Amino acid sequence: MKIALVTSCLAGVAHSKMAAVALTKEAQKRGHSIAVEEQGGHKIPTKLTAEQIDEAEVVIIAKMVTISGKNRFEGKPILDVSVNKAVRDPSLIMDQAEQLIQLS
Amino acid sequence: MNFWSETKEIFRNTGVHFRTGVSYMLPILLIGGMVGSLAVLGGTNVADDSIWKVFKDIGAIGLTFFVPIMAAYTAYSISETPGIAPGFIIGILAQQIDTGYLGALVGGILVGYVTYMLLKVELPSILQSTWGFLAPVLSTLVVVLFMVYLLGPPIAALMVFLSQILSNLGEQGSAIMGAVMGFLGGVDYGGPFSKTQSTFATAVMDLELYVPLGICGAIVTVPPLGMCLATFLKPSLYTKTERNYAKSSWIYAIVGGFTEIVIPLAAGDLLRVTIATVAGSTTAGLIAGIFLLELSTPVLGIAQWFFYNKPLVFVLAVVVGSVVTALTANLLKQFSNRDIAAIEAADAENE
Repeated sequence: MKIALVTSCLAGVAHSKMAAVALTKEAQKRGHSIAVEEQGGHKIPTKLTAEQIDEAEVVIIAKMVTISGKNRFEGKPILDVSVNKAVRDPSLIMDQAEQLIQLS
Repeated sequence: MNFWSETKEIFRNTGVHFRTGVSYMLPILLIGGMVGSLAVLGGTNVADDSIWKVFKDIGAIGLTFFVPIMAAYTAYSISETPGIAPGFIIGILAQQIDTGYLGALVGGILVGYVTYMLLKVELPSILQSTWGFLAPVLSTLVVVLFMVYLLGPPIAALMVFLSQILSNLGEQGSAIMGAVMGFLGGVDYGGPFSKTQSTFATAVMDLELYVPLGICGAIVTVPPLGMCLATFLKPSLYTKTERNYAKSSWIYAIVGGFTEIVIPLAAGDLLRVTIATVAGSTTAGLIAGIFLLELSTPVLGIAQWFFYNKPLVFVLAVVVGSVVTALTANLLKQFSNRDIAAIEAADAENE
């Protein structure tokens, strides 16, 4: 399945990166493809492309601070979690994302 | 009407909204603090027509405007773009009525909430677009009145009280504050407790108090540096993955003071590592507090040692704190029955 992931933290240097790495690893382990956007105060995010968002079956938002451009995902199933939880337990998050797709 | 559920959702996420405000506020504080520090090179009494005066003024802009920016983006976090302008105005008002950053945070939340709720009101489509322009005006007015007549006076009194206490702490009081901040900063690696102490340290810059930030700067370098030192002293107590993380963690201590890098090490042995980092950062906070270490630029990390008012105290606090962390961690791990080989095997399987 195809996933779009947005992570955010205060500075955009540590937490957002760690959550992105943890969830990407978990997604690859399960054979899902994942596109990542990291946001924070000290970096210009690598924006998800319109195509990546369009293709995504589920959007995961792992946030410490409110993400910018949430309206891009209107109409998509969104899993909204804290960035800490994503770092600590990526497999639980991935389970929830899979469930969300089955429901929709 | 899902009025209550929306209200609950917004206030349940108060922490996220505060942190969003802080995230947008930090860069301006950083610019103001750094440029302002350059002015120090020109001596204490800078001439009005010198370049140092320009630096000093730019620094002052950063140190003044971080409060409105924080309010603006706290409101933005709740009601997106329409919240920015009201938040900004409330933030400036909060400074003018002497409620400082506390008033700005409370006001930012309130005005963001009111703007959000007003914009959710459904009107006939012919009025809806006009309403979009009016709602932020109305929300600003409502919250302005609320702040000036109701919330402002008690918050201003609280700020005066707080500022008096904090500026008259003396060495003993500062030492206690340092120890408490050290505990918070070492206990959850960039989680809510750490963010509480670092937000506190940056926020009181508004009161021209720089000891808390000095303490903060010293303690955040301790967990990464201390754990790095611990793995060097006794590598056999750590798995290969842990040693790899530790190897890169000293870089974090030097450039930024991100305690987050310790999470992978703590995850495998939470209690012992947490005790060790808490012991180290509390010690560092205590030392920084006793010697009234000050920092007026929010740049955390060893590379920025020259921004401190007493660089030697900073080095002393960091070194002693890190050694305490390293020794505590290794001592505690000596008595644990963690099977390093088994964990390494499991790690290899996960790769």
